[in-house]
Amino acid sequence: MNKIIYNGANNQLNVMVPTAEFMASLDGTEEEKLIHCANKDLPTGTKYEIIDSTTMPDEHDFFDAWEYVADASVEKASADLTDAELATYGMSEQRQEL
Amino acid sequence: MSTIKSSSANLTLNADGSGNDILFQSNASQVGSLTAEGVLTAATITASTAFVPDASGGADLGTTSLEFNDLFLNDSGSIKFGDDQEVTLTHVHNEGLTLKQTTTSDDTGLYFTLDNGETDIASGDVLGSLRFRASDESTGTDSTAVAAEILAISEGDFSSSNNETTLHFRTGASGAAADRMKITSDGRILSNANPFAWCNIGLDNVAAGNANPGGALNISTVTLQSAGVARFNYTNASSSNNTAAVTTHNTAGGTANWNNSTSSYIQFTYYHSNGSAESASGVNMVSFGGN
Repeated sequence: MNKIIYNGANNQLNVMVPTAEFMASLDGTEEEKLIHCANKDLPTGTKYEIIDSTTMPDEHDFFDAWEYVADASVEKASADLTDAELATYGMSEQRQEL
Repeated sequence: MSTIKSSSANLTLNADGSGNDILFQSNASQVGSLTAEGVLTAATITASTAFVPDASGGADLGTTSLEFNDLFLNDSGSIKFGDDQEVTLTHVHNEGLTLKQTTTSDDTGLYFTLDNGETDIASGDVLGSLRFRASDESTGTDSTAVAAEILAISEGDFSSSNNETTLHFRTGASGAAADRMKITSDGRILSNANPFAWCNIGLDNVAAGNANPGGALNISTVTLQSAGVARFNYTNASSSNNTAAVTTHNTAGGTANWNNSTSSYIQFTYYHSNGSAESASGVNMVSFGGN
């Protein structure tokens, strides 16, 4: 299972995982679904990467020491949801805060 | 008494000539007529057995421009539908009406359909409604308003692949009935007495490993922002951030603190019994309100 990582408001690595329930409600490939998750739950323009969770360290005791280091070759930026998507989620506007 | 009689053949009353009617008079006043077009008119028409069309389905009661006014049926009266009269609407004295499917064979349920004839259903359109009220209540004002209602309202623009609808359950307290509970197209039951969202998840597996949340309702994603700090992002935003939540985790002696919520998410910090924030391996969260 892939996850979304980005540099959070606390200037730390943040890890976002989708729920199986939400993923099942979406169409497309797993990557397309994760991009949709980022567009929905991150402010527009947030830089993030989709990574294979098996590449993450097994030991998370030092989670707060982990850093987000951008890899321009795979880094993406969250985009606006469509008006119809905003309406579907009962959202009046794009997510504003990290 | 005078009698018009034919004992051996049909009796013909003939108003001979184009457009001539047959008129019935009593004491020099017209009391009925049969026109050249075959329209029989009288103040009251009485049938001792039945009032029938010329064939099954052969005639209507009224027309699109000449509609009857009231229909009176006696205590045992019923309306029978269909060539087999398999569906009936029957008066129950001092009680109400019974709509019945009279077929006795297996799997012949009764379907009562509220069918909206609009050709373009848009978001927010009412598809149908059942209303309850006491319009003759003598105290008036609030007491005669709709006291309870069940409505089906479209969630979006209907299309060949979309008929998303919410069922609204409304009750009145003082005035028109208002939403108390809704069942959405995606199966959520929204009321202040039902969870708005819930999730169980291992935060240790968010930080590392491979597992995703074990189960969730109305949670799109979970974000681990730092050790022990988890944000639960709602799939469907709440209408306010006036929410309350209960959360637990599986560390003996551990605690959890709410630290933020908006219409889009709710966020907690989970602590080990030693006071340090930790990404607990078993976290349960239930959120209420925000409907």
